[in-house]
Amino acid sequence: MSIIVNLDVMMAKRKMSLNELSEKVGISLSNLSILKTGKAKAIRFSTLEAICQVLVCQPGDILEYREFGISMK
Amino acid sequence: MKIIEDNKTYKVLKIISDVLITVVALGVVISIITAIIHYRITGSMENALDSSSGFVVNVFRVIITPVSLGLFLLILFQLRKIFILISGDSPFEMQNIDRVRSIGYAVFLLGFIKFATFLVHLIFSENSRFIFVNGPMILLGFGQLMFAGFVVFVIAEIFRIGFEIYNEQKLTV
Repeated sequence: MSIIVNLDVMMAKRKMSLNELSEKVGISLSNLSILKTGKAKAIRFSTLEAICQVLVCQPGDILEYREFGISMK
Repeated sequence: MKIIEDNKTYKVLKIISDVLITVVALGVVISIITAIIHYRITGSMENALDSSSGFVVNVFRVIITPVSLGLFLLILFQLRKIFILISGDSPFEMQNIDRVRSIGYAVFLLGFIKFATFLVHLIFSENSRFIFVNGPMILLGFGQLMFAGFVVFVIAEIFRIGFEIYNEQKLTV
């Protein structure tokens, strides 16, 4: 898929662990892991909102569109 | 995730399929024992079969009866497994789709056996009474089984779509 999830980058920037994020966002560790590894097929606006709120960032910081594997940023 | 909260219906259906399997299996065992006893007493199978129908028809009957019973037992077994899976956590499993499809194939085969019965009696029977009396009913049975087979395949397709939606829902965060 051309949509890349940069959740791990944002977590590293905020120095937040997966467990901590899971607790603060209110979604299970397994679901967060699905999102982090790029296996997720869709993300709810409510989940995105909660993640952005906790990580103090924009949706664009977490999601990125890449063509032919080259970074657009 | 629990999709069907009230699974009592499926437990009852499982029990019903268990009873049906037992009855059919007992029927098979009893008919085999009866045939053996009959053979031991009379020394031939001629009286057990309809001698007026001719050799080909009788051979066809001997082959087709266990095949039909086997297919019917297969359908019951698959249904039983489906009831167990439906009463569990998730009815949308790839195994279930394959099971529904195998039921569809078995129903189609039973339909073709009906049609073959009609043809064999029409061509090879030395006694035309059977085909005049039972012919229309056999053809009707063939039509009904074909219809049932198509319905089962439609159900399998619905299961497949359900499986895809369920998978997508599982991967939605």
